[in-house]
Amino acid sequence: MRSLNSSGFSEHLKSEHRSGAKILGICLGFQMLGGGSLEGTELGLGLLNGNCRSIQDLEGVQKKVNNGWRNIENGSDLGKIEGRYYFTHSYGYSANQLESQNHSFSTYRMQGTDIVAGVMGETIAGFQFHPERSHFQGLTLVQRVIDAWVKL
Amino acid sequence: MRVLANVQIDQNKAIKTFAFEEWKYLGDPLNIIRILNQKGAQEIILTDLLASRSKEINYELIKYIADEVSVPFSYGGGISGATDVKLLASLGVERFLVNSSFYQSPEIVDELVKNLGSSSVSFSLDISGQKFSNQELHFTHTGAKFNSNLGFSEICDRIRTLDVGEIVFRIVDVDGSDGSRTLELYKSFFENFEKEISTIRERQILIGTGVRNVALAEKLVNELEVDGCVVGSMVSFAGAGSGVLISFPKAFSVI
Repeated sequence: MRSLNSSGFSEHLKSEHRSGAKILGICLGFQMLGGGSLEGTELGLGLLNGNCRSIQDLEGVQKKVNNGWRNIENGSDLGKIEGRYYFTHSYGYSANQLESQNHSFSTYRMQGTDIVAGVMGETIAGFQFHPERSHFQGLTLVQRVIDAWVKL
Repeated sequence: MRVLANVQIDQNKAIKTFAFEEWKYLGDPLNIIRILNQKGAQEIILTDLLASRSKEINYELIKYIADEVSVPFSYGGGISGATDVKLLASLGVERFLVNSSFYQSPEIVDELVKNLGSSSVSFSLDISGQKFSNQELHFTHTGAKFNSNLGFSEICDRIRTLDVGEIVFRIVDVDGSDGSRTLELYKSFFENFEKEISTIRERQILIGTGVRNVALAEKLVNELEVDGCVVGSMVSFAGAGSGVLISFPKAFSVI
């Protein structure tokens, strides 16, 4: 965030978003869309109303790190995210934090706890997993996001 | 469960080691990795056994491989500082395996974790010998062949201090074996050091040697309560024989 702020790119992203640009964030890029993260002290871009925390701080999760392929457990309509994708992260959004949001989101389950896997909205999308490292399923998903946005 | 395919190289040749000592030539690494990728390998690791001795990283080969792979790609061998990591990351390497530097220059590991996060750093913990009492434990840096002076609880302390996100346990004797002693030896190690291992269980724990077949992989994960396995022979050889056949088991495939 610090380098996005100092280069002026944060402002650029926000103003582009205000004038209708659509933004897709991946992994840390998804976390940056929120209000902030306990991983650092800088504020996020504030385009999503949630904050990230260590997954280990979520009730029931004993692991510090989630590496590997996981199934998406549930999701809702616009650009419904389904299937199995590759994750590698230690911080993330908890499901109950994003619940009140104006976006549809999908979760994966880790040690019985729902963690946000991705968000789809009319102007914002974000994936905690890596579609670019999730074989053809990942590329298909990115194509679907683009197709859904083009139709709007 | 996670199953990661490991391809070992010696210069531009893919090899499979046996107890990290002897090895068999497998073929062209780029071809092998292309096949593993097509077969739906969950993750692919490239390890250069001798790079930590020669201090030379085969960037050209890594670049070609990274371009072929559409799943996560890790690299280990001869990583000696931030410049190497920057270059490797720019080529498409996502996770970095450390071994010698964990013992000899932990500051490199510290820097890696601080710059890339715990989840991008994996430590290969090589254990030699077959009796796992504290007096007889030896931790080897495979490439450079040194024994570490650290005891297992000191190693676990260092894992936590450096905040390494992933640990690959590798009992050297069963590397490349038929797998008949794998479960017994790992169980004995995990039982002897249950207390120490419990201090690092919040991290990703993988079994990295002697995982010869699907049933054994499942047994190891269930009985040791670990996150997955790193496999070499399983994806390199046909059946019980030693004829080279590159494949990735359907049971673990992502496609």
